[in-house]
Amino acid sequence: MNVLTTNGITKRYASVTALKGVSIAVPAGSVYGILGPNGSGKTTLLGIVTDALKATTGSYRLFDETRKPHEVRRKMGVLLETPNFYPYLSARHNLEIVARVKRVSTKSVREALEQVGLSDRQHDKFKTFSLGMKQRLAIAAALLNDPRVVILDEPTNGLDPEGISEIRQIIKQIAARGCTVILASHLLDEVEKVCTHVAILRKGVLLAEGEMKEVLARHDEATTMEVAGDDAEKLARVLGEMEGVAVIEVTAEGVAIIACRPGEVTAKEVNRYCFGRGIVLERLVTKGHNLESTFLELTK
Amino acid sequence: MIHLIYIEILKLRRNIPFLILLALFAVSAFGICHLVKGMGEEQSQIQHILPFTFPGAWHSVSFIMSFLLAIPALALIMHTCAEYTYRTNRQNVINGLSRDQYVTGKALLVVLLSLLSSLLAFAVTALVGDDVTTPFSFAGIKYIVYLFLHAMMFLGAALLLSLLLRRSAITIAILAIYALLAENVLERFTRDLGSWGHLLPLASSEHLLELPAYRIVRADAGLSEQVFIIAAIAYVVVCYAACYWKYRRQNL
Repeated sequence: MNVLTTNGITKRYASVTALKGVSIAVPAGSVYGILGPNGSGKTTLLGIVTDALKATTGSYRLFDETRKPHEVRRKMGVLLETPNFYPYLSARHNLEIVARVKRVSTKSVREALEQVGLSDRQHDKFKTFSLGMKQRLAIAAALLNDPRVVILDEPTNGLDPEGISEIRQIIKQIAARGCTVILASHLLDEVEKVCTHVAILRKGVLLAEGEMKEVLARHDEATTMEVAGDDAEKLARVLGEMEGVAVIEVTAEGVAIIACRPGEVTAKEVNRYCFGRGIVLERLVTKGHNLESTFLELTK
Repeated sequence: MIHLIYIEILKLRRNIPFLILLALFAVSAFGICHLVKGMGEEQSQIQHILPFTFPGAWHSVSFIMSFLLAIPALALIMHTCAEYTYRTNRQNVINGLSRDQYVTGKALLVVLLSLLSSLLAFAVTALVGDDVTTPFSFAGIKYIVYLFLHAMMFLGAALLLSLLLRRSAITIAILAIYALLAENVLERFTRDLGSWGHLLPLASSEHLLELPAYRIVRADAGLSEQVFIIAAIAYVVVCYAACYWKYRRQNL
């Protein structure tokens, strides 16, 4: 059974087409990752299935149920973009409003606050919270009604490493409860580790969708390598000029991560190419095929 | 219905600016009526235009309070537009309110504010009305009902503009320009159309509350009170229908 099915959803804003005929199916019990660079339409898609946005064309179905969509949404927990609460109300009062909207007992508020570690700050106004605390409160709101589906859109955005770690821990707990989790993110590593299914979007077009293993197998066209030398800047420039190679990023440690076509560009060739241009490599590691290379291959 | 208005009350229970504006509305209503009554006691001309003896007190107080409705309108605009700023309206829908339920909650808030305005007018009349020279009477209480109708229209217009414009400063400016200037100008232009020029959205319910001196002019226009009541009710229905129509189609 699918908890969410979309059929050819298109969304246009004046001259911009944010989504072009996107059709996905999210199986019950899965951890479904929606990947895409900024502006690819991830939030727009989630906004449409939660009725925050209106699709230009296309339709969606939640839980294969005939109940009204807003009644079905009460059994979902959603964190879309930023946490949205009344800044002049306390955490507790904000959650009481959410509980009333979802038609659950306000007794569940205390439990939800405890679950995200905000019991001590429950009487403080939302506007006094740090971003991490706001994010945790939004997750508490999402968990209020023991949801069947949790939608999280970039839940770790803007958080410090400690905050990211906390949120990841909470996501793992949610998934462990057997909830279906839909996670929109550009953190490829996170999605690859957590998700069972994936959809990859670029400029509103669905490039790939299905089980993680299937998608990786289907697009087995690129490998990534980690390359390091004396001069990271020169190394990145030289590698950028090499045919069949795309420089993904240069890390703070000066390691260039590159994507290359297997069979066409080997580690030996990269080494020779760099040496020929006066760069002695300190490190050259072939990472093989992963979600990152697939993602970059599909979205470049 | 009760569920939806309760959610609105939960949102407003610690909204200090909203509560201050409501308190200001109540204090202004008592204060201004008391002041005008005092002026009337000193100048008989004012007393003639705005009597605070029964049954005329109902009309005078309702007339004065029709201007003070700008205060709850301001509170309503600030509250509704703040929901767009904080994106809590979007979150309400995401969490499980239908769009129609969201607008119904806001419309019920308008009804509640209109009822409060009418009750306040009743209380002010009962307290400020001069029952020394004339006995207390319910004879002119229909003006409290007209005030309710005018509040429903004025606050409904404020709600509609808030949903359309989403920004409080712009909404307040547009509503003020329309109520204070544009509708008067339009009314002058439509005089050539005959009596129907008096039936503009806010003017319809305003005419029900206007002072007897002005009523002579309207009587010349040949429109009865019933016509203004029907027009005002029709505008209220159209205004709320427009709120639902807009919100159903809006990207939040």
